[in-house]
Amino acid sequence: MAKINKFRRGNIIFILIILMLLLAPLGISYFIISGQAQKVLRAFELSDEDGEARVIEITASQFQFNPNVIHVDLGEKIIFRVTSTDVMHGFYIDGKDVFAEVPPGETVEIGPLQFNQPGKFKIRCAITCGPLHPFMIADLIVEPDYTLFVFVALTVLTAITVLLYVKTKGREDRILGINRKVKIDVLKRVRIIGPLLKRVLQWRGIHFVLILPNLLFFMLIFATGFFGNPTGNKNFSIAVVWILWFALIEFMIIFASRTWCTMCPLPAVGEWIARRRFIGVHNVRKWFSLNKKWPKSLDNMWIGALSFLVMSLMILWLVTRPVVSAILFLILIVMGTVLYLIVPARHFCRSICPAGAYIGYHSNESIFEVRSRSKAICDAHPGKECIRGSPKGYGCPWKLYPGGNQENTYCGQCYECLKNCPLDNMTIKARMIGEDLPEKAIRTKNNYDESWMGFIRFSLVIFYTLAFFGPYWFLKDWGNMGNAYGANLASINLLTPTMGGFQKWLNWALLVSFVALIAFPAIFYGFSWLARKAAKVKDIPTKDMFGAYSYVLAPFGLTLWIGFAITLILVNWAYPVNAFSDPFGWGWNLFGFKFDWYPIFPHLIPFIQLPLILLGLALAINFTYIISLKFFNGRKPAFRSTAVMTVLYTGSALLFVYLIG
Amino acid sequence: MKGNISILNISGAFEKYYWSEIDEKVISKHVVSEPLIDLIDHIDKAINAGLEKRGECAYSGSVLLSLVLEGTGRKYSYNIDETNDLYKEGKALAGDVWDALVDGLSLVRIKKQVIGSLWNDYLRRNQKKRSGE
Repeated sequence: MAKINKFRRGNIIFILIILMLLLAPLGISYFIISGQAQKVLRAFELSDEDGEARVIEITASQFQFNPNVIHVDLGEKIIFRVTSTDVMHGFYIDGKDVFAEVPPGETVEIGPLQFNQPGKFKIRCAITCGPLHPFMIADLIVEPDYTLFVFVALTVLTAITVLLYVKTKGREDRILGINRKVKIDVLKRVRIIGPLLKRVLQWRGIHFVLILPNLLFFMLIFATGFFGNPTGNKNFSIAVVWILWFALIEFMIIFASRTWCTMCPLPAVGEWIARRRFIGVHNVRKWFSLNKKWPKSLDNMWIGALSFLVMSLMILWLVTRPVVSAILFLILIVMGTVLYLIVPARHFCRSICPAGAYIGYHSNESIFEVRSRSKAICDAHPGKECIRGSPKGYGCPWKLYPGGNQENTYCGQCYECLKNCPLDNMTIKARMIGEDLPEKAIRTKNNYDESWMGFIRFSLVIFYTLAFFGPYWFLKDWGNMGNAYGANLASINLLTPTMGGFQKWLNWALLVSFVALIAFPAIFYGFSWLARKAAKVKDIPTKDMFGAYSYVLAPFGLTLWIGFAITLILVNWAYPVNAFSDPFGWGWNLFGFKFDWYPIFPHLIPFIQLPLILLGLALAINFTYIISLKFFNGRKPAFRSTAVMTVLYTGSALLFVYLIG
Repeated sequence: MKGNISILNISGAFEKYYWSEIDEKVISKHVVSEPLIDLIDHIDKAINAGLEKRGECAYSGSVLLSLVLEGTGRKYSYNIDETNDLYKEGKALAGDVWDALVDGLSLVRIKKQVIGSLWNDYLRRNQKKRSGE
């Protein structure tokens, strides 16, 4: 009981800290910035007053505004004169009632507008103009823009505060002041829901029931991808997968770990064939499979990490060409099926799947885990039904020993162990974010697959932000292989880039790969070396510290990705919603709704992203300190090495702050 | 010896964890030995399917445990000694049954032998109980 009370107390403190971290920067920066333009209610408004207005000429063409960064002064009156050089474009300024249609070859005047609030606003194309339409963006900066300065100050302040906290009160068992070792046995302790959840998860049909609708969605993705509208945001395969699913997965990781893997249809077909069952357990355990063994050298995250990187190198094609997405998913589902028929286990999910790799990598940050109640009981029972299986369920298809499992990374939450255990020793636990991260970081020596997954994920969130929401056209053009389109969007040739286009893509691919695979890891290694020097230790090799510290990129990266996901949803929510009613983009309206595109609270997006960045930074610093405490037997060397690494984390946070601020 | 299947240990485990728990009005030969009958059937199927002995005998331990739990109307056992005893005895018996079947003994004969021995054991033990020994 004492433990529960302790948890509740800790929980309240944790929630308060999270709320503070989330709301304080939001409030402070918003009020500071609003204060710049005293008594002003709107950022800018149509001005009726006489007087000179500055005219800004803008050219809109697929898929850029030129100029792409526009500076105006506070209180200045502006007339935008927008000319479209190719197809119909829209002109929309975030969060305001400024919207204009710009027909091809025509010039439209918007304004005069008076800008009464400083800050950075996005100008977006509001009429679908082709595959990259959602990314046709320019920055409008109303000077003097203090947002960035405030954001930078808050970032540095957070880093210093957390450093001071770990110096004075930092403990191995506490993360941001909360006892990270306290857990709740959800199936036992949570009334009504716990037993109900247990029954549901022990029901053999649950896996099938969860997978089936997703498999049907996949069929729809193939159909719409191959036969639907070639313009991405009008097609179900793009709008639902790359906006809705892609964003929701980031939240799912935090709250439910690898729950997506519970319902993922990619390996399901292979699993059903190999088991010769959709639901039940075959009484003779003969797999319809070649029963080969998975090579030990491939039993890691290297292929998954690299396949995620390769997928990301193609991301601007994937998220804009339905047929490319459909081909990718077809390849993945065939691979998942064939591999299961060769090796009857989830090795595709463990080692190959790009989504499985990054979900698994971040899943240690989840507040959710499937674990044994007592490892001692599992160890003492020779039956090991969780590994070998029983008439009630299969042995762990993820090739784990669930009873002794200490991390979420490779637990696909199939709940076979929960069904199998004759001792009722398996359960679901709620816990602190990253509860087992420091132990995992220390335990994993000389294996750098997950470290590189961290570097790839962290680098890519920056490149994704630049490519999806930045004004820098050249990056989008590189990623898009320089494809030019005409007015007839239905007839665009989507799959044949020119040689020049391929060279452009190489720029993108080399830049992203260099940063993710070489530059960032090299900088990180340099800082690890400095941290070792600062700690004045000689018996711990730099590579061990580098490997262990790289794990803090998991919580840090995840918060940045959540920020990215929020932006993705708030700006593009209308596309996936409409795609349910018109999946092929043929003008259907199956469910009787069709929403006009408009972003939700776009002007607040940076203020939502900032607290997430700061939370990630705080977690990274605190986890580094805990890992350091485990490395060195002393607070001083631990603090000194943490301080060095904090410089790198703060720099990385500032880079992201620069992109959003 | 060919076809020698010892049920001494398993009847001890059954007395402790199975016979004392079953809630049947009429105790028959079938009720007394039901988990073993299913276990022998399972071994026969595994041999016919060409499965490997070691893994399948280990699995059979879990099969027996599962059958005993089911037979006594339970989902779990919270007694680790019970799970371990039943698992070990199931595994050992599965090995004997496997060898006997491979040696050419018929399934029916094995079943008869096991059921007969177990029934005798059950009666003997119950008689002792009744006579207060």
